[in-house]
Amino acid sequence: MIADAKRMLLNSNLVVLIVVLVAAGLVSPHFWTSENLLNVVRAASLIGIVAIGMNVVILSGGIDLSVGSIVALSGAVAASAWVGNASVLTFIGLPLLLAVLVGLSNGWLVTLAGLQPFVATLVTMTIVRGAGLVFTKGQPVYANYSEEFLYLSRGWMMGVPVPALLFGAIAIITWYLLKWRVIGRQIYAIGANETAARLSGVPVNRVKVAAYIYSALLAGVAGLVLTSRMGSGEPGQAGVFWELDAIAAVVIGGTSLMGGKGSVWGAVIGALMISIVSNLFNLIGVEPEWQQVAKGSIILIAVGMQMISDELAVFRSTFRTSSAVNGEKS
Amino acid sequence: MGTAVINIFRRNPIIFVLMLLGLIFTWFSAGFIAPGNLLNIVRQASIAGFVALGMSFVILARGIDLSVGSTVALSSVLLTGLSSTLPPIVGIHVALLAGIAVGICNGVLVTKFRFQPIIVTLSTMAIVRGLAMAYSHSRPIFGTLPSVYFELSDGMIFGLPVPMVLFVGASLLAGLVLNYTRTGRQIYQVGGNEEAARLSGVNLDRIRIITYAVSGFLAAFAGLILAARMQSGEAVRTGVGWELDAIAAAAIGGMSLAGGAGTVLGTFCGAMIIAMMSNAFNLLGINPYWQRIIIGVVLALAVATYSSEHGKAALKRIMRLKPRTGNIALLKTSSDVR
Repeated sequence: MIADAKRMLLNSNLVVLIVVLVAAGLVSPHFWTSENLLNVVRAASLIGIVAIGMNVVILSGGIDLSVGSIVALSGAVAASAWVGNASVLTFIGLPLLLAVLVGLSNGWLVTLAGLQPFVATLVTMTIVRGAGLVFTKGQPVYANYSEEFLYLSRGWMMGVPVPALLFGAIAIITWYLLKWRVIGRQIYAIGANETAARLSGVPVNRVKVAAYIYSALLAGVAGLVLTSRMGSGEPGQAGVFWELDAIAAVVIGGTSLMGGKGSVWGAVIGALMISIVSNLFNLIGVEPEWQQVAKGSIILIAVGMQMISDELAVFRSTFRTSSAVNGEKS
Repeated sequence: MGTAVINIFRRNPIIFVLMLLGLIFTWFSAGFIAPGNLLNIVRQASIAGFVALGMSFVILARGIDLSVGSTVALSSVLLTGLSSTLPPIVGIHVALLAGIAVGICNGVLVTKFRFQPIIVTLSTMAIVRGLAMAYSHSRPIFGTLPSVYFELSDGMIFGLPVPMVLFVGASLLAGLVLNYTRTGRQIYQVGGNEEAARLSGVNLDRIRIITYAVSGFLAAFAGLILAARMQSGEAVRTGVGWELDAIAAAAIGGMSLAGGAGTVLGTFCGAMIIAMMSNAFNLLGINPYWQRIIIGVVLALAVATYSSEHGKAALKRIMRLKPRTGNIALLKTSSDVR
């Protein structure tokens, strides 16, 4: 844990986050109020939950474009179940079960059918979005959720918004799974070198399927939180382009799209960073058009900085090794 | 000549799928085969087809271009916006140059900065859309184009819709460039085996930048025709999701996202299939939401067939056009044994 913290401090994206936080405070006096900061975290938590799942898939060397559609499907099914007076188990369980099924089909399309992850999840993205629309006949479903369910998105616990707590809990669980469980290490192994992983006995297909299921499940959870926040299920509008925001968060956080390199905290920092910047733009009154331009530029800058820091790290390690060798000689 | 034609069919089994779908739709819906409807399909296919054509260049060189939808929007608002004060011909040139500029930016970021194509074009997708929105203040621009430009989308040449003639022309040109010019062959080479291409002296960066520039140019061209068709330019909704349709058209047409394999004719057929299906579904009164699902399934089937070993073997068997070859070979060996 301490070594992790040290690595995070040395890592460029945490430094960038701190710089952004300080700069935000300087630009707008309203930024550093506790109310605003909690708003930032709450806004980050939805995309953040999706980004954590995306992070896992990307670590395994894949990509998941279907998450936005899963968010919409899960919300639409939950809202319809609520309207249909289904039991609590169906209401929560059915959307998550459907999400898992989508993840399973993503995994099968990639492993058994041998499709490229980009194409496989493009297909499920289209199909799942269509399924959500067919299911609700294209109309938004308005649901009079009870107080308990609204608590999921609007409630507070220990002075922190509930979605933010959920986001934090999911991040910690994912960190634990990736860092300390066999499956997590296998995901890194596959992402870094699939052939090597297979030859050393990693059940590559099973692990990949698990990664897609995890990502889909988290997207399903995000869909539940979203429908709770909006009080409706929107099969057509919800989650559109979330896959791109999630990929952006993951990339800003420093996870390599080639797989095998990065950590869950990267996705967390990336989601926070996107949320901070858009909050700041709103505070100082930047038009949404230019926000869009800035968002794209930030992704490029973040990736550029990541590459520079990677090269510095390589340089530093070669320097250290060579000096150690010299030390042995003398 | 005969073998050349057969080879075209062998390389593009998707042609049979196109014909088969055409027959099926004709069987189920009498209106499908009406000349007016067919021309409609072609007109629909051609605007998105330009984008898919450009995407093919990028995919062949093992890249991907997510920014095309935004480029379509940028080009349409540039043309309509500039035409309010200047003659439209200026707007056309500015829009096309802007498209090329976006493509070159993508290409330079991918090659010189060595960013991953998905990241680069994801970012420029946001940036270009933002610029288009900022230019038009997120409002549609109406009534600036002289009505003669309506001809660009709804006019007829030799009894054929203008966009179709342009699209077929562009496809033929693209096919010639890819098959018979040095740059075209190098695009296949870069996508097929980058290291081999580099060692045999191909300028990788130049080829990649060219493919992105072609994609930007063709997306801008699609934007022009779209603006002429709508008689307006709009930045917020225009071209949203077109990058995925273009990728789908290329993939259905047999283009491998791993680069180096696929043909322009395949992409052409892919774009036609998508347009044909959505047209036929409308005629048959199928719920548009089901259409998405069906198109997704078709995409999955097509790509799974191309990429799996079983699918490849089955295609080869069908493509041989002599179904009993296997048995003949078997007889031969057994007679040899005897």
